[in-house]
Amino acid sequence: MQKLILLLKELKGNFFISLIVLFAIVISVFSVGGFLVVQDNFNRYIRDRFGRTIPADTIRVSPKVPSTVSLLPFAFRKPKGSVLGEDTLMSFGEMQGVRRFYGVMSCQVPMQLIISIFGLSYRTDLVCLGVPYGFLAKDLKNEEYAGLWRNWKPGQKVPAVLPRMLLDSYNNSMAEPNGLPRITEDFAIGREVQILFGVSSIKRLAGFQGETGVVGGFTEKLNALALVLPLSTVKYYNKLFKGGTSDREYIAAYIETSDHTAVRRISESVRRMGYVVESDVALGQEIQDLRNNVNVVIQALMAIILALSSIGIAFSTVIATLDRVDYYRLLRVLGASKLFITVSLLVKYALYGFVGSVLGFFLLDWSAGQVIKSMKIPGFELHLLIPGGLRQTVILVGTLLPMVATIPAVIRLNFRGLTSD
Amino acid sequence: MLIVENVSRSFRIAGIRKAILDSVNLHVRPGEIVSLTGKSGCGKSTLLNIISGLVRPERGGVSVDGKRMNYWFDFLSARARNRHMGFVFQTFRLLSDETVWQNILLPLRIQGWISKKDRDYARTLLKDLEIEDHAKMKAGLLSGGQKQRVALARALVTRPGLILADEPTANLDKATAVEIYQLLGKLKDEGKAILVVTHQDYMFEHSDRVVVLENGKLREGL
Repeated sequence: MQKLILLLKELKGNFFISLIVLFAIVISVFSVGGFLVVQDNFNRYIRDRFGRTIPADTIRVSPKVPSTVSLLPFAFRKPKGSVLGEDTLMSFGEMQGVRRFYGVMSCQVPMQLIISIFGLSYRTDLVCLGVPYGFLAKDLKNEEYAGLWRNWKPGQKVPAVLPRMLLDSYNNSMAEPNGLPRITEDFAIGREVQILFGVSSIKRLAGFQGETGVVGGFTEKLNALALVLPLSTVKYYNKLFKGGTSDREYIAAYIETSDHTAVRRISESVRRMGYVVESDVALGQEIQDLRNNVNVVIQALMAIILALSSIGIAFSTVIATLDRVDYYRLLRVLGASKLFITVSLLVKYALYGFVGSVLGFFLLDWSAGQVIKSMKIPGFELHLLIPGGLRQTVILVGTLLPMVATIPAVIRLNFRGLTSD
Repeated sequence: MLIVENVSRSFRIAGIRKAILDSVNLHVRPGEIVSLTGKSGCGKSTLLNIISGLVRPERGGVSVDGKRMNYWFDFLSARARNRHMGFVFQTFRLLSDETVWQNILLPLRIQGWISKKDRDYARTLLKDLEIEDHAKMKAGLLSGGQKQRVALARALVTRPGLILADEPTANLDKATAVEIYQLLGKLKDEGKAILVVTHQDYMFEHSDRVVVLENGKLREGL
């Protein structure tokens, strides 16, 4: 108890210089946290604006445009690979190194969507894509939607997945200009909509049908302004209204490879078959380099701030400690051990470090909140997202840094006696 | 009782090892005041630091009231110093921003616990040393004589067997210095062993013995 009182007295000791230490920590945490926020937002901006939706070790295959080999109104021959049929899809599956493959089918019938939200009913023409369950399995929010996707039958609810790009586009291009409320993911999940097959604002097919749809999740795998439906639903309506081979023709396919080295080999094989091939390796290297370089610069700036603040804190603690050297020597002579004095100093600066770090985050949260409120980037939402784990790490480093910086001061302390010859 | 036996200590100065203390022996019995004197740089500080356990001797040992003072582990030496020795300094070494009462309790705080008995004893000391009225005053506001009384109370609060006084009257006028020596005389009568480092002749008269440190050796008398 009495030692605790001594510790509290130590906290009060040399308060002005200790305040400088506290201030240095607040500024350091604020700056480092600020850079983390900038880095996070920059990376998200790059991903949203330039990032492709093709995941790692995945190849996107699409057919070539047929008109490239035509003369006047006569097409002498369709280019090789102009159609992605089911046979072609199966041939991808037979390639060595292919783990899984998925076909993406477009709905080739006129469509409309009726949404009832905020007491209003909207009707809009619609573009839809159909994909198999495996492709979006992880994006479906619950087992009910997953079951519907796997085993959809006419008359059942149609689970729909929204590409995040579509949601962002709605919020920025529809909600914002028209003064409508923005739609969040939580709000949209589970919402029911009416999907009309065979009718649009300019065409109405005989026997058009309506289905109840339900928003079952969001995806970043398909960067498209289209509603994503089960492949079986799209096939069913393509066959019903269009017939022919429309239920067996795909606009794209995604091939997952067993490893990274297979990407190049399979890409080359598919390219030779006459298809357009995109993969995460081939595209966006410049953007990735730009992002990596900017991240290195941000990290270097953070390291400089940390180094400068460490030096500043170390100097402050040395000054603060040496300023009280007579007091520590008195404590020594009166019976305090070196350990007790050292621990008192370490606890003191650890506490200053902890309080400084928390204050730094408090200041960062407040000021970043103000910046986010006042700064608008069209089509991009600024976030103050410092994950809890990272916060804890920064607070831990902020606590340990002044402790470590105290060590030179403690070493510099000379615990000689008080007598003089 | 203080027993210093065959204590030796040397220091390396400009690359040459110089013996500061060479097989020093000193006994201070309970109820005895011993004055230690010698030229500046003769090793008085080193001897006091060794007695208090702040510096380890190369050879020999120190005990107070039969308890060893020098340990390999610092915290054991610190505890022994706290329990068995009281210190009085030339410049008082009080915490000027703290009250007299807080200054006196400091050695007990370092122990980690202050019992009611300890507090009562501290009050008795305040009364005996006639600083009772100043208990709540900041130590920095006191006169030199009052400060040394507070320092004496702080030295006595842990009921040590040995008082080490380093030039306790050097910063005081003669009348106040005599008062302090009278107080030391009272402590002697209470059975405390007192070792005083001093250069002042009139202080030697109040001591039972005078020892001189010269060339690393102690000798009796001036």
